[in-house]
Amino acid sequence: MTTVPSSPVGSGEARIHDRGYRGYVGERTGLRGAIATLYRFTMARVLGLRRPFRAKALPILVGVLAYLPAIVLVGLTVLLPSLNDTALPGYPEYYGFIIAAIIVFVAFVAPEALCPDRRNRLLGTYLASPLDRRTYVVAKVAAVTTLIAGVTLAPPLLLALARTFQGIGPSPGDLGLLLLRIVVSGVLLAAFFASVSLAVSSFTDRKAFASAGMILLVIVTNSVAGVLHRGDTNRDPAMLISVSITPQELVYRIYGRPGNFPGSPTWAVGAVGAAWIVVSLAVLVWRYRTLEVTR
Amino acid sequence: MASDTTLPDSGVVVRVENLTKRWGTNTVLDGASFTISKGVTGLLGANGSGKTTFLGMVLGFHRAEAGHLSVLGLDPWTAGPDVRARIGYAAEHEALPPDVRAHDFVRHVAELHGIPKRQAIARASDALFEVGLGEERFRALGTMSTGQKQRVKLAQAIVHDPELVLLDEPTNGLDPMQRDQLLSLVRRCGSELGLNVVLSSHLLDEVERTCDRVVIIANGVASGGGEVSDLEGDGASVELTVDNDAETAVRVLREAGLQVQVDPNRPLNLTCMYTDDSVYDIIARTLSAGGVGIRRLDRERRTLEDAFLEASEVQ
Repeated sequence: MTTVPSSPVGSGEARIHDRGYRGYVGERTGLRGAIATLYRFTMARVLGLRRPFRAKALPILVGVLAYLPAIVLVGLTVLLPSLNDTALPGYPEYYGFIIAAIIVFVAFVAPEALCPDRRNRLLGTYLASPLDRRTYVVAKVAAVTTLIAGVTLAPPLLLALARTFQGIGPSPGDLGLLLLRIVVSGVLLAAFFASVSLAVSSFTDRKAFASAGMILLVIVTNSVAGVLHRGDTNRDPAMLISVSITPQELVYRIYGRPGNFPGSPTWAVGAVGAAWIVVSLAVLVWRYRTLEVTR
Repeated sequence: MASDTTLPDSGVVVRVENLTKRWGTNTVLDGASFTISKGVTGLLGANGSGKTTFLGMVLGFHRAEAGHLSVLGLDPWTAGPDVRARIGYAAEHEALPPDVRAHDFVRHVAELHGIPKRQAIARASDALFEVGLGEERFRALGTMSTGQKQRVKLAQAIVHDPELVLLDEPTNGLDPMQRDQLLSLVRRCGSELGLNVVLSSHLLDEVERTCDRVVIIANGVASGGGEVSDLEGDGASVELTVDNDAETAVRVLREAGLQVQVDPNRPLNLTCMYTDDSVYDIIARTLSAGGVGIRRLDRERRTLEDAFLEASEVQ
């Protein structure tokens, strides 16, 4: 005697999966879709997503460096409500805490956005899609800027939260201005470091060389600025040569503060910051315009 | 499959007219003119003959110094993104990120060519199944063999259902068995999937086995080409090998009114002009009467290699 299966035939659970290549007649997302795809793929690559753990280690370290101070401060203000006002850093001063994280990111993680494409000869594959050299660069700059903004925007917001817990947060009238300053500072810092790091990375297909190049740029510009400044406040504008000091000064001015080098006029700080961004982007575009793909 | 309705007149996929391209003082293409029609077309030429440069021009990477190039009815230099959205391309070199999974990479290329995310995920799997990598699709590309990598390159070139697929030396680095398998896949792309394929190669037998048509590029111009079946086949002469006494054979055949030539390297091998099928009877009777035995009597076979050599010599 045969056993009758308990589930009835045609219960609706069976599915037929049709496998195999077929034509495609649906919508196509065009150039905008190609840019968005490269933007997402680049961010995932830089963060090490869907890749071995070693690819995620540095992005995690950067996240910890950037967020830990802010998280600790929020925790302290919750646990110790009587904490003195002076125990919490001001908004522009907070960037001093995270500038190390940004430089680590810029030097060691951002080259991942550009160098492997050339090292693995993927540029030809990208340029064989609706992307061209200009839109490829646009997607890369946007991706790296967004990632750096992740460490320049959110931590100051956490700081604002900490100050609110302590009762020294922004008044309702000042909240809009504070948010605007946080956003403008965060975006400008991100754009500054993204363009500089990508310009440096555009000269090599090796990440290690790009990292060394970026660190060298920070050291050399800091040294030259220090030598020219010689501790003389009359020579404060000389400090704007430094690729790490200019963005910090820019943030101070956005918050309406004189900064560490008050002898530099605000217009000069803005102009030098803009010049770094414009020149870096020009270098990046020039490098990618002249790169050979096939011959 | 790629829609025929989007193809321009008479199914011509690529039209080349007097195309000239120079790199500095080196003229790579020198007034080349030809067309590439639907199906699988071989782009045949020696290394450095300009095949890759031509593919780069089809993709809109390089601008021509002179002449006109039309790809799917558009000028790739001025309408690059529109043309490239309809093209699949597998580069000559590896061009794969080693730490990315095959499926992720193929999906990414599909999205780059405008396929929305959900469909791209499904199509990446389908394309990898199609090239025989269904079970391997979640492996990192760096762990794959050369043959598997070439298959991934083919999958990423066809995943978005392109109207034209450009394959630049797709069998580079493959052993004979892998080569056979990949060429079968390329052939299948044309015959069963209905894709238009341009296969760039310097290997004659590869083009001979895979392509419907061939364009021969030599010294910067398209110096020959056509249907592979037309370029191959019967030649203009009859070849025969005699047992012995080639001198007698030549004498009696000439006395019978035939034009005879002797292969200087193999004196027993003779060639007669083919006029019609009666020439076989004349040769057999004449040599029999002259007491000369025949080992072999056959029509000369013309190969793609002959066409290639002729085309190269013309230049």
